[in-house]
Amino acid sequence: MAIFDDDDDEPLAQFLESEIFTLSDQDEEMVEDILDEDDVKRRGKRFKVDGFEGEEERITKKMRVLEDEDEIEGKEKRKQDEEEEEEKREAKAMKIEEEEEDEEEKVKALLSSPSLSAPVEAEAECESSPPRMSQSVMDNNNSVASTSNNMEQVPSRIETGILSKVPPELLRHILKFLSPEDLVACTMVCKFLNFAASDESLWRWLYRMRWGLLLPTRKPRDCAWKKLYIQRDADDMMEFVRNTPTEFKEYYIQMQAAKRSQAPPPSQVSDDRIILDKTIADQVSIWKKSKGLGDKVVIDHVCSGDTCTYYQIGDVYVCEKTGHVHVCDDTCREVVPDPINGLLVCTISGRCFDSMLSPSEMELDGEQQQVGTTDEAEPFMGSGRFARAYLLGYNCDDEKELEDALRFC
Amino acid sequence: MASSSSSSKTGLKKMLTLKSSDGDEFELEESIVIQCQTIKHMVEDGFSLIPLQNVDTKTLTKIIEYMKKHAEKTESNKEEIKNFNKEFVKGSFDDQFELVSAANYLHINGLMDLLCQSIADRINNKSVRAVREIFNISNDYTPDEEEKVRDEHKWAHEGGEFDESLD
Repeated sequence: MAIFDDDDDEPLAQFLESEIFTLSDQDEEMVEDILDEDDVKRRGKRFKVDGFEGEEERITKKMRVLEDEDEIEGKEKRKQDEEEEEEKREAKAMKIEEEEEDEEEKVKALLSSPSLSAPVEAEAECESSPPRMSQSVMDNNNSVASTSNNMEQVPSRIETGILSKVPPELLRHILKFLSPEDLVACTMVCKFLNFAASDESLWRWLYRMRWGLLLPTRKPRDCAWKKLYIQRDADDMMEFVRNTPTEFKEYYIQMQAAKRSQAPPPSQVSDDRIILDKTIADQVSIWKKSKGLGDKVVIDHVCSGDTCTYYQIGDVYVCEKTGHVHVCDDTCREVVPDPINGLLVCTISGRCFDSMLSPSEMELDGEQQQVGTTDEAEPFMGSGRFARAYLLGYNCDDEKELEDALRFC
Repeated sequence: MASSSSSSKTGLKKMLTLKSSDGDEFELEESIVIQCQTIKHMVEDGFSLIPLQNVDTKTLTKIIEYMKKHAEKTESNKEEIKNFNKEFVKGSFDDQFELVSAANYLHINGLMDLLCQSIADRINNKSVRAVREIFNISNDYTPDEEEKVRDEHKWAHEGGEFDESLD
């Protein structure tokens, strides 16, 4: 209750007024009644009576805080006298009395419960009706939000500066143009930017841009994209550093770190909206549409890694000419054996599969090759993009390197 | 104000009127205005006078300038549009944010991207301190909290160099 005394917000005052309006109604009518009622009930009522007819009986310390309310109540009463709506009031009072009965039950229950040890609080709390309680809870929250230094409390927007004028929902649109490094800088600027720059969709996009659509494991991810990104970045860095000659380490670390400062290219930022939220099937059909490829089947064209170029969506490769789809997973049938190391290579995706030959067979194979004329070892020849890349040495780490390699084709 | 249905039937250019929050009216061809999704939908619903309560005259003038230019977009004048865009995003943050809000409200995606990119460019590669200065944001972390956040994001700052300048 004390909360309400120092709070003179308008809506709250109004609320109190209406509340007291009902209470004052009832206690006028009820004071006498209560005296005749049985003991327990009277005990339940005691504080109400004390509170609003404070001059009559023992006034506890707690109840003093109600004095303000008494004043309002007085005003209210005068107002009512002017209005002289005795009949209405009586009817109302009857109603409230009925409701009051229910509350008394609660009070009784409370009195018999262990919380009796703190009767004043318990009863005072019982007095306040549910809306009041929630109001007080809200007040508490507000005060927490404004004063606490709790990290969990994120302000709903930036308080100062130019960004305070930007609707918070627009911030995401701005932040999506930033690199991981910049987003991290933002998280340290202030709490709200921290919240905004940790947005899942931003980091998911960054993650997928750098490592592709698929997660390293097939398991569902168990943490936020941002964390995932940071973890994988750290893993990559470790790996990278481990495999590098010591004298170049420094440069390699810088190169690796530079990947973090790569902001999504503008064209891809807008793709995000279309593509990333779809299943692969949807993505394929969207991509086909965007290239003007319908769903009709092109017959006079045989797709192969030798002749076609492909657009990649995850495991799926779509022929850029016809829209034919090749799914390159463990059941891939586009594989050809590589004569050099016996690995099976998909001519479309360039992906390597484990050889189906056992080690002993491999040896045999090798011997046979050595015996036979070397000319017979037909190297894998193709004209497709991946085929050429493959010829150049299939060691490119990413698309970019591949692209560079292709220039020499 | 041209009445909508009759004029479009006769092949004349259908005109629409946009009204800013200050009460100023702008008459434009429909083909220009439908770049903006919000208005496009209203046109489809048969409105020809479109009140824009969230957009003041100053902002609306800029937006119309943008829409007019981009309505002329063809394969050949790409360079021109590019330069126009470059000029368009020059201006104070206040103006830019007004424009972003309006572009968002009006659903002009191209303009949204243009503006957001330009604002993002101001943050790009800046140090934390510089970002705070540029946008005049006060640091609401306690020293302890700041330490904690810094710890969590250490990786991003090893080896990197940051721009401390404010432009």
